Order: sequence, then C-alpha cells, then structure tokens
Amino acid sequence: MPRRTLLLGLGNPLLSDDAVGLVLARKVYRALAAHHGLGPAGLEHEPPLGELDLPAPELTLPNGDVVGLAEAAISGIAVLDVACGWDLLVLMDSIKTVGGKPGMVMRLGLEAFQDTVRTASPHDLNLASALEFGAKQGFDVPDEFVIYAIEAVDVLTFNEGLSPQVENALDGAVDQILREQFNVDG
Amino acid sequence: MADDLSEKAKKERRLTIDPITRLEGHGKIEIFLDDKGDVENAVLQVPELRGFEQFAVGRPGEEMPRITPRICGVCPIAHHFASTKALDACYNVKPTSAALKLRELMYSGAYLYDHTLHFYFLGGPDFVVGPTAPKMERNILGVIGKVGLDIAGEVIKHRAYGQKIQAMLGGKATHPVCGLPGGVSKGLNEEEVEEIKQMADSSVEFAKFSLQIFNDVVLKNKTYVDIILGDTYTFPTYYMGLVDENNKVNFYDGKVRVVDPEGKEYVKFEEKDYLDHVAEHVEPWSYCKMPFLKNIGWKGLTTGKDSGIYRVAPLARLNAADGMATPLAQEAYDQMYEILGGKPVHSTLAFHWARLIELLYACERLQELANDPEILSDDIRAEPGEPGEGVGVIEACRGTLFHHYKLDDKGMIEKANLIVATVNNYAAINVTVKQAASSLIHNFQVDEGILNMVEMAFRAYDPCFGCATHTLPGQMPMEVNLRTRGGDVFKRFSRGI
Repeated sequence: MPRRTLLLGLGNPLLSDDAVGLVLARKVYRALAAHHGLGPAGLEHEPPLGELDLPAPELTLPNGDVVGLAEAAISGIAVLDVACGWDLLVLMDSIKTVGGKPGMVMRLGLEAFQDTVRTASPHDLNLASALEFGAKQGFDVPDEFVIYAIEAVDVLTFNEGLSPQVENALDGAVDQILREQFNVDG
Repeated sequence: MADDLSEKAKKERRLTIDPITRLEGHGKIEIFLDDKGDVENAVLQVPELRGFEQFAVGRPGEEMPRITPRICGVCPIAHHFASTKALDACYNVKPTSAALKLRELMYSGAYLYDHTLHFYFLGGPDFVVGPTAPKMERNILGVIGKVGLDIAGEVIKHRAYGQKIQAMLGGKATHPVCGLPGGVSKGLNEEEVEEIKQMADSSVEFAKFSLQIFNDVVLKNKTYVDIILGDTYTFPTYYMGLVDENNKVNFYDGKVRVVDPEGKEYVKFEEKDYLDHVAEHVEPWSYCKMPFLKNIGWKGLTTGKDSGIYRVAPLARLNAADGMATPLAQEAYDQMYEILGGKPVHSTLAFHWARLIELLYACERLQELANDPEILSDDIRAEPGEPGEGVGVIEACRGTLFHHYKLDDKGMIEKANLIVATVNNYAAINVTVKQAASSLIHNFQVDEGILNMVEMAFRAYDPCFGCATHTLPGQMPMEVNLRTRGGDVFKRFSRGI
C-alpha cells in the first residue's frame, strides 16, 4: 500500500515567527516535488500564507507514495478535521523554550505530551488526546505522528515576516525532514 | 508530600520545585503569603499579543474582517463580524434586512460549534467526570467513558454542523470572507436552506439533550452543586451583555446593557458610546489591560457595587438581560435562576450552565432564521457611504467584543482600537484566582490540588489568551509561584512546562 503523508504547517501568518511552521511546510513540499522532478501541485500560484484551502493538494511520488500539504492556525481537536485519512502526520510549528537558541530545530513525538494528556489548556484538547479521541470514534487517524518545531524569537508581535535567526534555520530543517521522513539526501 | 514541603518551607522560608522548564510564554500565577502563611495577594500574568493596532494602520478598512480573525484562532467569526459591523458604521451604511439575518444565522452556527466544543471537551470534564477524578480521566475520553461513545458521535456531528453552516456563508469555516460594509458577499439557495433547517432541528434536540445531561449528572449530585454555590468561586460584580429592544440576550446586535451586583440596570448604551463607559486599567505586573466601568472607577482587584470590575460571557449575558428571545431557552433560563436562588447569579461555575442555555438559544435562533422566507432574498448588500469612524460590538462566545476604527478619506485605517472579549474578564479572573488561593492555602499548607482548582476557574470563563491557541504544544502551560512577604519563592507548581 502506498504511504500517505500529510505535511501540516501550523501557525499564524501575521504573528512574526509563529508563521515558521507554515513557511517550513511549503518549503518541504516544494523541495520534495523538485527532488522528484514534479511540479508543486497546489502551490503554482502561491496562495497567501495560511490561506491554502482543503482538500490538501497532493504529490504522487514515483514509488506511489502520496504527500499532501495543509496549513492551519488550529490546535487539538480541530487537527482531526485535517489529519484524518493520512498514515503519517508531519506537523511543523514554532516553539518557545526557556533558554532555547533561536533557530534550533527540535523533533518531538507524542511522548512530549505525556504530562499533559488531560484537557490541559483552558481552551483546547492537546494533540495526543485529540488523536486518541479520534481513534475511539473510529476515525481514520494517522498511525504515525511527528512534530518538527523551530525555536522562535518572537511569537507575540503582529508582524509579517520571520526573524533572521529563524529564517536562516529553514534550509537545515528542510534537509532534516527530507532525510528523516523521505530518505532524501539534500 | 504537602506536609513535608511545608515543613521545609517553614525552616527555609523558601522552597522551589524546579521543573524541567521547557516552554515559556505561559500563564503565571504569583501568590503572596503573609507571615502566617495565609494568602495576602494573588495575580495571574498572561502573555499578551502585541501591536495589532499598529499592524492595522495604513491597511484598507475592508481588509479588517479578513485580518482580525487571525488575532486569535479561538473566536475568528466574532472578530469577523465585529469588524464588519465597525465598517458598517465607518461607511455609515445600514445593511439590508436579509444581510443582517444571514450574518446572524452564520453567527448562530459559530455559537453551536463553539459552545458544544467547550462544554463537552473543555469545561464538561470537570463536572461530567468529576472535579476530583484523577487528572488522566478528566478529559473528553473520560466524558465518553461516562456518557457513552454514541453521545460522543452526536457531539462530533453537531460541532461539524456548526462548522458547515459557517463555511456555507463564510466561504471557509475558520477564516470567513463574507462580511462587507453594508452586507454580505453571498446569500443562500433553497437547497442550502433546506440543509440548514435539518441541521437546526437536530441541533435543538442536541442542545436540549446537553442540558438534560447537565441536569442528570451535575444538578442531581449534591457535591457538584455545593461546589457551584460554594464561596471559592462566588463573588458579586457588575455584568455586561448585548440585549435586544426587549432586553433579551442577543449575540449579534443591540445595546450594551450593564446590571449592578443586585441585578438592577446600571446603564444601557449604544455601541458608539463605549468609551464613555469603559476605561482600561494597567497594572505594573501585566501587559494585559483590565477594562472597568469608567463611571464607577478602578478600585483595585475588589468586587461589589463600589468596584468598577464587571464580567462578560455566558452567565454575565444572562444576568445582564431580562430573558431569552426563544421559548425553550427562556424555560431553561427560568429554571436556572429558580434553582440558583434568583438573579443575578454570582457563581463563576454557573457559567457552564449558562453556556448550555445559550447553546439552546443559538440552535432555536438558527431554526427561526432558516425558516424565515427572507433568508433566501438576494437583496444582501446596501451601498456604503464615505469612509469615517465607527464602532462595532458583538457578543463573542467569551464576551463583549469591541472593534473601533477610524478611516482616512481613502478608506485606509488611521486608528484602530480593540477590546477583546476575554480581556473584559481579566480583572475578574484575577479575583477568582485570589479567592480560590485564599480558600485553599492556610498556614503554608498547600498541595498540587491548587492547579486543578485554579484551572476550573479559568475554564468557566473560557478565556482565550493568545498563548492558548498557537505555539506548540497547543495548550497553556501554567506555573504557580508561592512567595513569602520578602518576595522569595518558597514553592512552585507547574504544569506543561
């Protein structure tokens, strides 16, 4: 069976480095298409960041695997609306850690949420609980799930554009994701 | 554990439980103790998104309904319509009757979506599973365990109905593009209206059922009722909400009405006059402003008739109105006040109950609007006038939301001022935190239960601080510091950091 992978960029395109997940997901999608000599289906006319519509545009790779691209400013349960029907969910987002070096790329799995499986936020369910909930409901939730997060400088100021440190981290992050998830050496 | 810690605290006067601190930008609660180890003061600090007003300046006014839903992923439709209403006022245009009905219909769909999500996924677990249940069970999965998998299916179905109605009119479910000064960009055809009617009928039954669950699970359990009515979460304030010409709750339009802690009308004003009645206080320890009633004045984080602190959102709206404009919601409204001892109700946890009554109202209103023949009209836009200044006010699920723009003669934003729904409750949330802390901490005795108790207060208000919606991991990390009089931290609890 061909594997179906969704690249999901999360973030707010107007909130400085919060947009990095959106930018990264598009770059990975484009790089993968270019590597296989394909056109960037759905990105030919580059919609404004964050405005890519569902259903997710898809690339069919030479081995039959399918890679989709989606972007959203959502969390928790709403991720199910986007993520169902895919085998692997590769989620990209910004992160702020204490003492973290801006531009640092982090790879996280579901275990990152182990302490917070309850309804931790005053607002939403975390991703692990959302996926478990979806599975119980019989939804076709992804079997595999990985997050790539880039340490941000600022995610609280309304501004379009990334900080230089974050911008400079993008190419390395693209290479890492292509290598780790798609066996492609940049 | 708590005793050991307290012993250590007494000896050293300072104890820090240092977690592996990973995420910053979290909600931070600072609790200051007096010499006896009782609570002297407590404050909640939250990160605030910055610079939206400056970001808006110089952009075309008509872009605002598309930009403002990006302020926060939690209330996008509310921002869209508050912004659209502000533009109606800026361009001095009254939307056609059909356009107003279409906007309200879509907005009722947003309430169906949002209130359903909150009750079942966020607030409900505290009650349906139980406030003292182990924290791993106190979530939607625990709710399913208690009420059954079939019901979870109904929750998902009706949440999706709300989303579908928003998408039908808004173009997209999350970031709508339909609101224009003077109207909307798209109407409905007969097929769509038929579908909405069916969804509305089903949703009314679902809302009734949700209230029944609240009745069966919460109200029949004395422990829960005691928690709702107990002192920890109860205090008198003013209440604010939009009301129609009959002083009934309205989410989309009307006048802003404020009642005093005894339930008497204090003031009723038009949208455009909000600055005559609301001012914003700044505390040195927080970027987040605290709105208060200007003519009462800021008296600190105190409650009662002499303090300008007011509350917004479901319970506040019900307190500020004389009733609901639809029959079933009115019945539920009467029942709530009868059981809780008359108006106004001051218990913070009753926000959950009020939210379900509003869910029923939104579904009934959806039904009414879908059955109104005018909803099929194609007269959906009136011609705008010249650009100027205007205010738009709407009831977001989380409270009264103000958008105020000044356009230059080319229609570009010269000035923008927003009072975001949750911010209205910020002072009251701080009061709640202090009250909860005071009732739980005595003589340096405290345990991790305080996190749950404080969270329960948070969730009742359903606050939307920016941090809760975007940066990983999509949750609001929280830290509680207990400080002695000298300012030293003697204890720290944290979650998600």
